[in-house]
Amino acid sequence: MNVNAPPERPDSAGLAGNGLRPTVQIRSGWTVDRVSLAFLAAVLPSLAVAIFADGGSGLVRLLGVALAFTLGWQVLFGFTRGSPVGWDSVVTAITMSLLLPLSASLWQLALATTVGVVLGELIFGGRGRSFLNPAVVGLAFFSFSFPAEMATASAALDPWPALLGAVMLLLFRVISWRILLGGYAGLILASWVAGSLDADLILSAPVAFGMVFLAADPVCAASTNPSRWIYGLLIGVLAVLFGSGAVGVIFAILLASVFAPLLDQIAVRLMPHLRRRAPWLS
Amino acid sequence: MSQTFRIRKGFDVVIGGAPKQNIGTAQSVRSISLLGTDYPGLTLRPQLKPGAVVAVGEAVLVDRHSAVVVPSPVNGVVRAVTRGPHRSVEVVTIDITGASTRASQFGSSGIAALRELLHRSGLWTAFRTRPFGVIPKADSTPDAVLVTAMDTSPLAVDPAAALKGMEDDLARGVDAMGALTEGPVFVCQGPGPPLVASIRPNTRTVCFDGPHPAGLPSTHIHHLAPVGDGRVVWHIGWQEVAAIGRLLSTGELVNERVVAIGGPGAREPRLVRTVIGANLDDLMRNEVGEGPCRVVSGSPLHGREGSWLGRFDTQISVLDAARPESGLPFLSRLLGIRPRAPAPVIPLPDLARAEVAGVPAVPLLRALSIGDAETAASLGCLALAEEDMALLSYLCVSGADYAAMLRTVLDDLALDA
Repeated sequence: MNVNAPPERPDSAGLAGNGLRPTVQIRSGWTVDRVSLAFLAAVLPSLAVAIFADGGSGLVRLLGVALAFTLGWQVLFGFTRGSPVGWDSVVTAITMSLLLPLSASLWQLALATTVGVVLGELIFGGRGRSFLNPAVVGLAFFSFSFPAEMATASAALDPWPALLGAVMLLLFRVISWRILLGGYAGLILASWVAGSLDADLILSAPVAFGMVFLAADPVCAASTNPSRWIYGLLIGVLAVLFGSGAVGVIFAILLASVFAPLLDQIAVRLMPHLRRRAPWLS
Repeated sequence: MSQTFRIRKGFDVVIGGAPKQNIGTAQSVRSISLLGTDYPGLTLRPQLKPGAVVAVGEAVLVDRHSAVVVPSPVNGVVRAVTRGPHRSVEVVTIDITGASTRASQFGSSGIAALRELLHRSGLWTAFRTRPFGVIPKADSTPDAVLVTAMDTSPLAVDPAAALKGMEDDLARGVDAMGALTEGPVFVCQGPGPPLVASIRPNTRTVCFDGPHPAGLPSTHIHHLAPVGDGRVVWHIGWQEVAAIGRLLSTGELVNERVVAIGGPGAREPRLVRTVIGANLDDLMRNEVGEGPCRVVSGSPLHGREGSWLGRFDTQISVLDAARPESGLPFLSRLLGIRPRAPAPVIPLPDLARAEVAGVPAVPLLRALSIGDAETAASLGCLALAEEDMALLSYLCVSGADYAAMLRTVLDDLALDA
């Protein structure tokens, strides 16, 4: 069959081409853009607390530049490639600016957001078609390109608004609790083995923020229930191995996202056995 | 002692206007239609031209490759025969001229000639196979037969309420199922007292308890007689089995079915008894409330908008006229950018709750949306039929019609099989 032909869309004729065949007549109301909007609503408390603690100017400058570039690239790709322009660019700008150092210069910011949005998302066709979170790609690029800047202070993140965001996203049912639980289990386990387990690590703001808004993003995370556990565990363990600051978490998520499709594949292969032996896992 | 399966996964979509489970009076119907798409797997040829007089029980459509026919459910005059692609029959419309919807020319032939009787009476077309979800070949034998006596779709008929007066017919029909297979016969029902009292040795009543899709045949087959390794299972709805029972005991072909009218736009949600293929404009006269709405034959999760009651649909849903939104992002709309590709699948965690027959949801949706039949088959899509994709289509942000995609993939696989 012709794989390139786009599948029939219900919004073209209302009834998927052939009105005589039965099909779904109602929808849950969730669209790609509404998922982005849910992330936006959930990340706003973290942003508000950071701006309040920061006094404003530094973080607002970061956010302004990041927003200009994420939106600019999205609109450009929208007009030239027909990819959708949605709220996800705003979410990407906010998450990036909250983890980037406040001392970052304009050209460094421009480069990082461009690499993140274009290479992490837009060349694949936009939100939902890539396998990496654009903010993670941009942040990873920034931290290995400008390691000296990355070591300087970033916005004053707090774990509690991130927790509030997690609760919101879980209530909206757009992120999986398995990833968060697996992530923290991996974190606690690995740091206990390494002998570095303490409350600071568990309450670390970049770890909490990264877990909720970057690791649990359904687009770049594993997509079956068993592999979500493994994906979460992997992030937790890698974050401890890489040093659990912002940089460690970012690279842990980047690596785990790259492995997510493989974890899915393995989970699908094992699914029949898992269903029989451990139904609670799937 | 009946076995009970508790289905943990799934969820019930809540829609206003649940039907009252007692049979009320139906509006009279002046015409009926037989729709070609209700008979997957048959190559139908019309026997009558427009203007021809047809008696109830007389063959209107016949299968080109077998003796299976589709009889007229009414006395009337053929108004139109509409053709679709490849000269397939799309719609045959018949204007009703007589009141009777019961045919008595079939005679009580007993179990021995059951197959031939089912072919002649058109009740053979009520069976569906797994794999592929089509009408079985006239000479094939299944490894098991499942009688579906429950429905977990929103606004559905409760068999326990609609069965009154048909208990003996159903028991007789279930008995007859044993003559079609060497294997077991399962009566799948919801929690509650057994719907079929007397049961033969290789027949079992099984309860399924839980949210939708607990009532779908694919779920039952997955738990009772999974397909694969060349095994073929048939399933059939309880009203069709009752019709078979009646045909065997009295030789009378019953062309009426109990149908639920429900939904937020229904004036008086209830059960009615009406003729197969009824014209919905007639049947739904004075049934639809104020305001714009659309009448769907079938459940809100798996139905079609149109003027006719589908042959195997047991519910009519009156839904809000507003169609699901296109899902175009706000900023795209503002800038006037039309996306060139369909919306992507976002693997929301709820999708895993909507999976049927243990087929992993997101990998299946991804395989279907690129038409990858091989991967879909390895994931287990042969255990599925179109109605199993309803919850996934309902939830998925892509807005795609996965039922149509699954049909394409199943047709591809059927060609190779």
